This record gives sequence, C-alpha cells and structure tokens, in this order.
Amino acid sequence: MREEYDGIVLGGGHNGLICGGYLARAGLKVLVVERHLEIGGGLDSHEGTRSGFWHNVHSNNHRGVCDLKWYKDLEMDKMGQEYIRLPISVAMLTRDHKAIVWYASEPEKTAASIGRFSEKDAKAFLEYNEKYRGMAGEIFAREQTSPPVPYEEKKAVLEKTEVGRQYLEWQPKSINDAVCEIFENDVIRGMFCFLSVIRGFETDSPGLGHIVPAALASGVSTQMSKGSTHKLGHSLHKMITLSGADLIDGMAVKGILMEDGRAAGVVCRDGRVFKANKFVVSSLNPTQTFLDMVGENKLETDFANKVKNFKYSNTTPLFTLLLAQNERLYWKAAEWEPDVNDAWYLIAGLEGFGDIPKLYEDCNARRIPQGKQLLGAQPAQHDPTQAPPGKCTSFWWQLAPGNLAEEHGGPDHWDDVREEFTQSCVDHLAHYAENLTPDNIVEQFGQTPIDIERHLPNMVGGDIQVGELSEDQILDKRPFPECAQYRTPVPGLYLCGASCHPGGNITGSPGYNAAGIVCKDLGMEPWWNPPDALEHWKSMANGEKE
Amino acid sequence: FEEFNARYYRPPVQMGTILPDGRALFMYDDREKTIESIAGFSEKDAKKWQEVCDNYEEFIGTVIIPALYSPPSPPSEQILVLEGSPEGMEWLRIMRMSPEEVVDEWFENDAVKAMVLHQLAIPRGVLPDYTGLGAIVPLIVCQVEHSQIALSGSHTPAHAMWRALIRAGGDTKALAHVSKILVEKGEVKGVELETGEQFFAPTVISTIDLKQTYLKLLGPEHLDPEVVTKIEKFRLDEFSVFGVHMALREAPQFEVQKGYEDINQAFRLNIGHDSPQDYTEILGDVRMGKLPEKLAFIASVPTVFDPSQAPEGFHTALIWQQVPRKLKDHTWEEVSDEYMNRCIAKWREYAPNLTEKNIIKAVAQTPVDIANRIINMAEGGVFMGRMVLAQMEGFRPIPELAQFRTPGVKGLYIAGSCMHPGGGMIGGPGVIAADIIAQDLKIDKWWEDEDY
Repeated sequence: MREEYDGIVLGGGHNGLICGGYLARAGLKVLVVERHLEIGGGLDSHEGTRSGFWHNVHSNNHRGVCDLKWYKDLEMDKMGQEYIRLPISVAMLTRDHKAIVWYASEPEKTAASIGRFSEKDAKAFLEYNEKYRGMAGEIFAREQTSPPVPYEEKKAVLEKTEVGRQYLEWQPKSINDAVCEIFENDVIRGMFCFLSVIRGFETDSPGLGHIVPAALASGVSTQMSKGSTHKLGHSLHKMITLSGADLIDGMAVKGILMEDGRAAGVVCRDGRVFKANKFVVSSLNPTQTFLDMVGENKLETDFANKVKNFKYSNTTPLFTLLLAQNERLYWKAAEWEPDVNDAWYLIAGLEGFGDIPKLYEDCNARRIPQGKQLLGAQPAQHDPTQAPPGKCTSFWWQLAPGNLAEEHGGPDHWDDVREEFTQSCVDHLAHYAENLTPDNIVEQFGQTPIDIERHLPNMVGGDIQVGELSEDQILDKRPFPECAQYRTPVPGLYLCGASCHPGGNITGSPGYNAAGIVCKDLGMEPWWNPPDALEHWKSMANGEKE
Repeated sequence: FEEFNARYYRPPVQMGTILPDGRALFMYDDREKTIESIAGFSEKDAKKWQEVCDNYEEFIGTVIIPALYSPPSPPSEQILVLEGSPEGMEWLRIMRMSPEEVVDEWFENDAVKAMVLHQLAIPRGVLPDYTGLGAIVPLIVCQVEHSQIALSGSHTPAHAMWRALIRAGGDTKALAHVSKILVEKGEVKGVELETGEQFFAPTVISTIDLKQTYLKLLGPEHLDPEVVTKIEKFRLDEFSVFGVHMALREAPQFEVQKGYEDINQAFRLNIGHDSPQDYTEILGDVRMGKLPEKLAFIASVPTVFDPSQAPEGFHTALIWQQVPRKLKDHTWEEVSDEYMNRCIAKWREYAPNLTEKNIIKAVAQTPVDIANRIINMAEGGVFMGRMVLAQMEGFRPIPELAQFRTPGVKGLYIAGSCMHPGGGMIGGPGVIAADIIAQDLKIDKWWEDEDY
C-alpha cells in the first residue's frame, strides 16, 4: 500500500469498481476507498434470517448485464461470475386471481396474455414491439450506455433517421401519457406504468415518454447473479484485485484533499491521507462529494446552490419484506395461467393504473402509503444455492418514502412501525399465494426505506436512483449540466456514481463512462473502445442518406 | 497482508479485571506497569511475576512459540532436551500440573490468579483443571503473545488474505458446498460439490473438521479401521461460547475507585471472574449441561480502540460467556433472550450507563448459531477439538494424522484447527501444512522457516 497514487476512487460500489478497474488496467496506480467492510455497495447479500438463507437486500435483477461492454472488457466470466437468465420476466396477479404475464423474449405469448384482458391492447403490444425495435436498440440502449449527448446536437442528428424521429416524437411525453396513449385497459396500463415506477423513473414527469415504446420493444432481459447478488460484488472484487488496484475497505473518506484549487487526494476518517497525482473520482452523490468532501467554501456560490437543489426522489425508496421459507410460494392465479408459477417478478396488489397517482401522492407527501402494491420474487426458486436444500427465499418491495415528514413521525418512525408494516405485507401477500402460512415462514424481517440510507448513505431517504430521474435531472442535465460529462468544476475531480447518467440500478454505465472521460483527459489511448453515441448516430444518418 | 489493507492495533491496556469493590487489576503492554498493578494487590505476587518472566521469557520466545508453527515433534524430544538441567526439570514438573495448580503454587492473591486463568479458555481452548497443561501459565505471564484488534473489524484481515490469494494466482468459489473428496486407487483426485460439479487436483487440503473430512467427505472405507475408530472417538470442545453483540449510543463507563480509571481503556475485560473458585462454579454447570448460574465473562468495547467500527460517536460491545455446547433441559432458542439480558445486567452492575436507552440493539449468538454458520465448528465447539494433552501436539487430532498427511490416501492433507497447534486466529495449521506440502511436492519454498 502506498501513500501516493495516480488516482483515487471514492466508494467501492459497482460503479466505483468498474471505473477503477478500467483505469488500473490502463496502467494507472489506482486506490479504491470503501467505507463498508464488504465491497459492492448495493451488491449486498447476507444471512439476515438464518444461516444458509441468502437475502439479496438491495439489488436483485441485473437486467441484461452480461451483454454490457464492461462485463466483457473486464472479463467477468473469467472472474467466476455466472448469470441465470429467466424466460418469464413479470407476472401481475390481480385480486381475483387472474394474471398478465410478460415473457422475456416471446412477444406472441405476452400478447396472448394481454389479449385475455384486451384484444386491442394485445395488438398494440405486438405493433409497438415490432415497430420500435430499432429505436430501442440503436437510440435508447445506445444512449443509456454512453456519455449523454447534449440535446441540441442529439436532436440535429436524430432528425435525420427514422428511428431517431421515433425517439424525438415520444420523448417529450410523460411515461403516464405514453402508456395511456398506447393501451386502453386499466390493468394493462397499470402494469406497464408500474414497471417504470419500479425502475425509478418519475412517470408523471415529461421528457421520459420514449422509455415506453423502447421497453415494449426490447422486453426485459431478466438476469440473476448465480450464487446471490453479492457474488457479482465478489467477482468485481477479484477483478479489481487482479487489475493491480489497491483497496481500502472498512474506512470512510472524510474529505477530498484540495491543493492549489485542485482535487489532490483524500483524507480518511482515521486521519490518514492518500494523495492522487492525476485524478479523484467520486461515486458518492453530489451532496456528499461537493458539500461534505470538498467543502462549500471551495465552491462557486452558483454551483454550490445547484448542488443544494439537487433533488432526491421520494417515489423510489422501498420497504422490503424478506422471507425465509420452508418451501417456495405457489400462486392462486396459476389456475388461470400456470406460467405465473415460473415468473421472476410478481406484482401483487396493483389493480390498475389508477393506483399509481394515489401511491405517488402518498410518497410525495412523505407519508406511509395507504395501499399495497408489492413487487417481488423468490430468488432461491430459480437458484437453489441461495437457500438450504428444498427451502426458499423471497423479497417483496413496497414503494414508500424513507424521509417521512415530521407530521408523519419523521424518518425514525420507520423503526416504530417496522414489525407492524412487515406483518401487514405478509398478510397482504397471503391473499395471492396458496401456501403463505405461518408454518411456511421460517423467519421474516422488514428492511425500511430509511435502512437503505443507513446502509448506503448516498441513497438519501432511501432513493435508490440517487437523485430523481425527472426531466431536469436526466441525460445531459444529470446531475447538473456542468457535471453531465462526469467532469466537475473542481479540477481533477470526476463523478462516476448513480447521480450521473444514466442513473441507478446495476448498469455499470456511470463507472464505465467516467473511466473513458478520465482516460481521455489524461491524454491516454484507452485499451478499450469507449462508446460515443453521437458518432454512432451520425454514421447511421449517413448510411440512410446513401 | 498489510499490502492488502490488514492493520492491527495493540492496545496499551491489554486486559483489565473489574472487581466488585471498584478496584481493578491490569495487564499492560508495558510489563513494569503490569507488575505495579499487581503490587497494588500483592507485593509477593508482583515479585513472583517478575521472577517468572526472568526465568521463562527467553525459553518461551525461542522454543515454545516457534513450535506452534512447526510440525509437532516426537514426545520424547522435548523431554530429552529438558531433563538434563534443573531448570528443564522444573519446566517438566510444572508441565505435568494443571494451570490451576500452577497459579495456586505461584500466587497468593485470588484476583491475580483469576486474571491468569482468564486467558486460558479464550484464546487457547484450555480449562483451568486440564492436567498436563500447566506450562501455559508462564506463557500467559510472559505475555509473548499480545492481544491485538484488527482495524476496521475482524473481517478486514479476511479480505486481505482473500486478495493476497487472488493476486497470488489462486481462485475461490463461493456458496459451493463440497460433498465428496474424490479418490482413486489410494490417490486423491479432487472434490465433488453438492451440485454434482467436480473439480480435479492431485492435492486436496481440507480445513474442515476431522470428522466431516474423513467420515463424511472421504468415507471411512479409504482408511484403516483403527484410524476410523480413533476419529470417531475424537473429543469435541468441552464448552462453547454464548455471545452478545451490542450497538451502543455510548461506551460503557465503569464505576471505579480513584486510580483505576484505566479499566475504561482495557481491551479485554474480565467481568465476574474474581477468583479461581468462580471458574470452578461455571465449569460445574457447563459439564452438567446447565446454563451457568454464575455470570462471568470476557467483554470488550472494540470501538474504544477503533472508532471506524461504528458510526461517528457510537460504539459496539461484545460479551462472551462460557456455556455448554448443548443444554440438557432446554433449547438455545428458549433461553437465549433471557440469558442475554442477564449477561447485560451483570455488566450494568459495573457500568451503570449500560442502560436500555443506551443499547440501540443487542443480539445473542448461541452455540447453535455458531455451528449453523460455521459448520466445521460442530455443535459450537470453536476449537474444533478439545485442547487436552491427549489431543495436542503430536497427538492432534490423532497420532496417525498429526503430520497433516493422510495415511493411505496420497495427496490428501488436513490443515484446520483440529490440527496442531489448534484453534484461534494464529494460522499455525495453515503454515505447517504449506511447509509439509511444499516438501512433499519438492517445491522450493519462497518463504522462510520460523527461526528457532
């Protein structure tokens, strides 16, 4: 372990590790500092109930992760990482035990399932699924995995292609409006909208409408990390160790060392100082990075105000019911549609589109939601290594704000109602299951939304997106225009966390994109191929012209 | 391991016994201060302490400690060396005694005796009346081993070792349960997992406990029936540990008489063992399969030495109370909450601020929890085999296996805590196994032997 490095990464979540791994493999001396004993951030699993029952307490479905560039570049397969792909992504169970099933890559089957609720919506689904595949792959997916392109430049080039125009046509709308425009049936509308809610998008915000046709076209590549979510953390730990980077775990960073107006290293909580001669990359949120670590007095007033006004969402935090079960759950809706028993996600309690505004209203008022719309899965059903032989685990998310308003008891009120709320989730879920009986439950525990912040302090109030995904805070405006290219007004300081484009979840894109930018700024030839969406769209436009 | 972020800290106040009258007795990293503390209780014992150090320190440092990291030598070897001199004969004499007998012979004050005996069970697995292990007493008095805390928590060295392994070209597979050691014609071939997946290797090293390695994974058919019988008769630890882990708003503050304030800086706390008699009482219950009526335990507040183990301003604390592995009349689940509260209440007698309000959360860890989580610690026996003379050194676990090789199965080694020198975070079995395997494979060792 040295005292001086080329660069230091703050935070050993997946974005920090990916960014650090790329840069270390570029020959730079890199140090990653992580406050937790375990690294991986939200890639966290533990035996919270009983030994042998592994509960993935933060992330679960790592959508399409194996197909991403960093996964291949950093040789995650060689690190022992394995994924299980699931053919049935979602089943939405209704109160009267019917179900809609969304298959990962069989649109005809999905349409047939939708058709049992509305023939017209089944047709619409198939139409959008086919029509927007190009837009989903070439524009939306490309945008999600590249540094954001400034809007005017993007607009100019997208106008030149058919798929680009599709994007521009849908983008100004809100997800809610887009869903309602496409579908007529309230249950169908509810499911498609709710899946965006769960992905952390503010569905009532304009500027996100393109996400709907893109999602209908690309489906959901549901994947789970074999051997628990934390296994990906382990694989990244192996990767970073072999990349030659050093790692300090179990030690929080107290401040970013500033020298001559430049980020020059970090000061740890125990007082140790590590110098960074070339760069400091922070995977923390802007509030932590700029106000806590750099210090407000070192920032321009305008910029400091922007940081202070960065919005964290009250509609992404989750209460989680975690169950250790003697056996897997079977669903009453299986009589109507047997495939529900093989689905990954299950939605239990969302009766239709109308439930969503009510849920948002409660969340935005920062009170505990009245209704229950659980979304969850039974990981050990699909990966038996996550529970003792024959047994099962499950998790059930309820959207709920962590920062309860003072008149609703304040954030710590969650500790008072934890047991009661946990039990109410069990009771609610029991209606949908054949066998959710007290005998089946080995143990249950509830993780409140404020526990998310306690464990991962960048997720303010439990905001799993680390900053609202609304019109003003996405793409080239995330977290603010000045930092949208992962650079910051503080020389030598970069951002690589979920507060940057494209946001939270296990995408690795913020870390991947930041690595490319740092490498470029250092005047180094990257050993990988950093993505450039604009170039790609330009060549598409030229192709279409010819 | 320091390259990989393992760091240790040795607290200056290594240990403290708090007594009901508000006095306290200390062992410091600085011997002079230890002796001064003892002198406050007995001038005579302080003198004896110094004398023991003068007599044995060098011998222990140069002979006893290196032996912990070397393959066990034949039983006659030590005796041959020692019987030639009066000092050697004296060592052999105290060796034949029990630790309790040695402290009784050397010291007069109960608190001093209790302080020495406190360091037998944890970390050494030895009980005060184990005959033939009297020589542990000078080892404790000379303090050649030190109490250290892993900075950032005990898991940090595990991460460091893991990274060292990965960087050295090793690999790991997690959540993989080995169900079989594969053997063909007297040679080991690899392992099979519960899932049926197989991995092949000409060398297999098991750090699992003795019985699971040989009776479950290998299968008795590959061993001499006499060896199998001995393995079946191998005795597990006589005791287990009941743990209490607390998250606190403030560190426990002991109420002490003036001059004994160091107790709040002592790393290893002795609460309740005031005299050798207290150990006898607890052991009586342990051996009867009863929950010890008397509460006397090891406690510690790690965050006093390493604030990084809790949020800013908060603390963690732990209690380890000696208990039976199995209770005769109850399940652990039935008694655990109440017993945890009794343990905490006992600490509160000495540190009144350990109130309900101070405790954010307390959790108990029973012997069953230990065994469930770390399955080689069968029945919660944390030393993976009783640390009695008949199961130590060249007799650990049984004479036929004491050289880490498996007679009749080429390439199969055993290297866990059931081997010499036993359990505890000392790494001895791993180091010795590496030496022996390097020798068998005719590999040039890149590391140096212990110097002795």
